Amino acid sequence: MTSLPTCGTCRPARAVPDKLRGVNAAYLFALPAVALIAIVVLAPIAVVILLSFSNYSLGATDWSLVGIGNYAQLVHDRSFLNALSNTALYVSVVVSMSVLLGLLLAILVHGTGRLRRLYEVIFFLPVASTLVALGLVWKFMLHSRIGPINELIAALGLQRIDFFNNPSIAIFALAAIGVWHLVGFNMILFLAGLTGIPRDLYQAAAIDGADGFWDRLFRVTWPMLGPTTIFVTITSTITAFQVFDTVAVITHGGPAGSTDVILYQLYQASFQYFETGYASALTVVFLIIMMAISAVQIFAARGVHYS
Amino acid sequence: MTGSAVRISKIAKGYGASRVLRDIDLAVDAGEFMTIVGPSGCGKSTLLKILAGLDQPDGGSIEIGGESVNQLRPSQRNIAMVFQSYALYPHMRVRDNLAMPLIMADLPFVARMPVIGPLVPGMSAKRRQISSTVRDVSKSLGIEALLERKPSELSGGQRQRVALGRAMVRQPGVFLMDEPLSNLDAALRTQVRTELVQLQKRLNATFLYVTHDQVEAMTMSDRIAVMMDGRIVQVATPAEIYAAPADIRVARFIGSPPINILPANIGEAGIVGLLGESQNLRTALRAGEKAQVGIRPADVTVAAHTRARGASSSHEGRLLHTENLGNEIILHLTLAGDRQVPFTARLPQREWATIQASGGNPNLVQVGLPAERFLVFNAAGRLIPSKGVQVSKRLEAVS
Repeated sequence: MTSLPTCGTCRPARAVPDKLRGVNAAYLFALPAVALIAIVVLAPIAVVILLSFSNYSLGATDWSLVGIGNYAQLVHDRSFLNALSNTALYVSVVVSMSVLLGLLLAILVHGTGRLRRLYEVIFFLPVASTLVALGLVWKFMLHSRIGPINELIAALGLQRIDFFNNPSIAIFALAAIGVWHLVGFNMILFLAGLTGIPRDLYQAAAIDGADGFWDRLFRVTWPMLGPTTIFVTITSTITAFQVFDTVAVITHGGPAGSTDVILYQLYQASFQYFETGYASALTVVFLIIMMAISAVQIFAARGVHYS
Repeated sequence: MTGSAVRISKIAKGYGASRVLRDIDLAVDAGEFMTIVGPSGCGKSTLLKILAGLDQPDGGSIEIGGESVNQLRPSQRNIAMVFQSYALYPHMRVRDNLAMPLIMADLPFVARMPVIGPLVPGMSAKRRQISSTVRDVSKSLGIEALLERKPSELSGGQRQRVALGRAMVRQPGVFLMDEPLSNLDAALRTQVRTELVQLQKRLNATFLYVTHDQVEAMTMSDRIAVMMDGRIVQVATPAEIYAAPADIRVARFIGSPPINILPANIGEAGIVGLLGESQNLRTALRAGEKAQVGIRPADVTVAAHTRARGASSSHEGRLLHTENLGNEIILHLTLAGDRQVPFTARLPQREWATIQASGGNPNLVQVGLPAERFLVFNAAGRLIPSKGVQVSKRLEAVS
């Protein structure tokens, strides 16, 4: 081997200035991102946690720490417990319906040929539109006297249903809107999952005798969609927990507090009564619930990933 | 259990404008190991899928065990299939993968449903029967220790066995295999090849085996069906396919290293002219017709440059490079008379050592082409029968 030509005057450029030697350069590169996360995400959370232990009221000049006072108040606050149970009811209806309907729609749409794109767009439209505006549309659609749905019910000779003024129905009417809004998104996710199932598996199933609709669904499709189902369920749960728009636009928490939900409580405490400390405690509770759901996703996902 | 005979007649299939299968006829005897071999895209996998009922033919009929199965669903055709990807159910344990065909065949619909299925009464005897069959099959394949694992926890060879087991549990009349060895590493492939043949003999089952690997076809099959461009070109035993390929494409496809093909001329009385010399070989072709001659690399004789032995004609060969296979050596050459055509010769390592030891120019050898081993193909690529004759005079140039 011949020796490489050497150059006496040129030296390789130093990668790190002398005074920074000894510091791992990787940390320096990570610094901007870390700083950004600290300022934008972590700091506000820390402030909220701090405020939740205070009696701060928006705009107040003097305030003091009150320990766990706000949390103690929460536990005994009937309207909070009411909001919590309403939210839970809303979430359970919306999640179960939107996941099942999303799966069903995805399977049906997956089986169609050319019209598939059209169906995808149609079912995805509600997801892409503003829920506040569409909440108003639904308020009209479901109105007890002038709403077309009640006109239809009346035309069929049935009794009109006062969807938003009947305390035992209102939360379900809102849940129906929630399902309508969410189902297209879930359908798209399930469609992606369906596309990922190898065709070989269905062929093997056909040879093994599992070629009927239900056998295919229960033996191949549904288990293979396990990871997707977990993901869809978790995202649906988080979205459903954040229900606010329809409540704020249509029912304002009524009738008789039957549609009062956590975020609406939070909104009222924070921006109508300016009880920032109390609202912060609510926020922390909300945050803990969200983190618990995410943790469930992480653990549940371990059981359903196959490769 | 014994295998079923398969009779395929006039099967045609096209996708849009392209004809994938053109009038395929094939008869497979009961208990036969039939390999369908061909280059990728020749339609062999499509044919297998049509046989399985996973794809519908445009025309033609299929009989399995003497019964027309055209209208039957895959599960009713008395077949099992091993996929190239194995297609194991990733969410099921090995045990459940193996049991799947039996569960579908033996348990009624309600008993197969989730949640309520296990509550259906009167099924315990059938379930016991299924699990004992699964145990027997897994034992015969040596995978009983893997029954509780998921496919993702298995090696490639183990998955292959499970796929085989899933095909075996139902004791089908015909096993359809779609390149089942192509995902295994080379060493394992050789081992499983032997095992598959032994398994087939033990089960006395009919195997229809699709592969693009001519070595698999040659080593495993009772008979080989060579497919090219959607047609079956030749159906014969491995020995026949090798010795008398009906078509030049078959000759090129079968054999490793590939057969040497040299352009040839036909002289008076059908005498074959090759590399400017007439050979001791007569064909039924007319004088002046174009022809090609195939010579298997193993049939070529090689000698040191100074002398030629035992061949009807001898040519100077220039060595390009050599491949050492241990016991054998493959020479890559060009021949005097036609330097454009690459030429390979295969000879035992010991013979090659003797030639090298004899001195002389190390880059030149004397290549002997035994005319009695020539395969003569006409302009259309069909094999033409030929007969050895003694040609007294050497033609100077048969151009």
